[in-house]
Amino acid sequence: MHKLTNKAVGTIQVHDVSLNLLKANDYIAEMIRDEMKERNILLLNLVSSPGSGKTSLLEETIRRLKGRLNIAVLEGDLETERDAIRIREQGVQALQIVTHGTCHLEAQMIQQAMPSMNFEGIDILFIENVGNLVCPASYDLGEDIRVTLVSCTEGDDKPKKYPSMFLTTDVMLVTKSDLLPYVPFSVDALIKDAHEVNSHIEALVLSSLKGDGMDEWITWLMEKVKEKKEVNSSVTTST
Amino acid sequence: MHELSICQSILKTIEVELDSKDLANVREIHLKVGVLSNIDAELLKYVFEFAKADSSFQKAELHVEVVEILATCEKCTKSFKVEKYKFVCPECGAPLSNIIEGNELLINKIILEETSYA
Repeated sequence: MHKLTNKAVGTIQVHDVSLNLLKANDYIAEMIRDEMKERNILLLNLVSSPGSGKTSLLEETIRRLKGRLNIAVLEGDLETERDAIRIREQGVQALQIVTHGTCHLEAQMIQQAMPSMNFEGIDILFIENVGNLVCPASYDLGEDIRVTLVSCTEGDDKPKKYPSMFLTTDVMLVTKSDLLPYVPFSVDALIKDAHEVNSHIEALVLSSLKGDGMDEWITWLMEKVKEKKEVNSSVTTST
Repeated sequence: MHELSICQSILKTIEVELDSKDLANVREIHLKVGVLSNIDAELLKYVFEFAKADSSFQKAELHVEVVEILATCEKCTKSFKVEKYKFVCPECGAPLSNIIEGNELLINKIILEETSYA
């Protein structure tokens, strides 16, 4: 017969584990990367503070690449479809992902949006992330290149203030360069700070509005598309 | 800024890792959070109290260990603690590009207590 007491005796179990909390995101990001590789599409993730000119840069990039490369765009915003509408006016496919308050895009959101896109003949897929220099840094979206925009009206102190974003940046675009004469902003100081955080960052200075530096950006972009297609075709022929 | 999504990820990850019968016995969840993960440890603990309310983890407590940045020099291959986000080797001036610690965002220990009556 069991003797009932109120004395609780606990058995303690300790599980030593190593469970990455972003594993699910990173796994889906790899799936996206594989699919984009198979489809020969260059995937770029555009990140920046709100208002630094991501959508304007895309509009001008699409205008300049018309007839040369086919572009599709995924737009991320907390609310509204305004950005996707702006992009569609340029005659390209754009899908709006409304995050309803989430401060970043996650790989799963991209994966869910992909079946609604027609990737036939597409050379570049741009993802315009939610305007935020903090959270999007931690979420791999399967991109080939992470492009971080810094507008000269924001100030040249961003790399040291938001280091995790610059650590994962491949190319930094200094935007609104037509305003450089009117603001206390040093391109050299910005690049120096960015390189102290991440020595591999490439930097371009441009103005989507006036067109300065846009030729270099377009040439750079076309070169990256070419590189990706070459890598892919060499892999195909070797196997 | 995305502490709530991280909390949901903590709960989901443990649900996958443990047997469902053990979930209610989870007493402590230990995390390692790198400085570069952009997660505020205090805010995370605060948010976790709300996240666990609707879960099987009513008695679980969150413990967070913050991990400083440690990186290796490209040239002299020595490792240094990175201060003020200056990823430059203090000895030879080359980039400290290989981050060994500081990026992590993981659960490293789960403590369960199974109550039995003697």
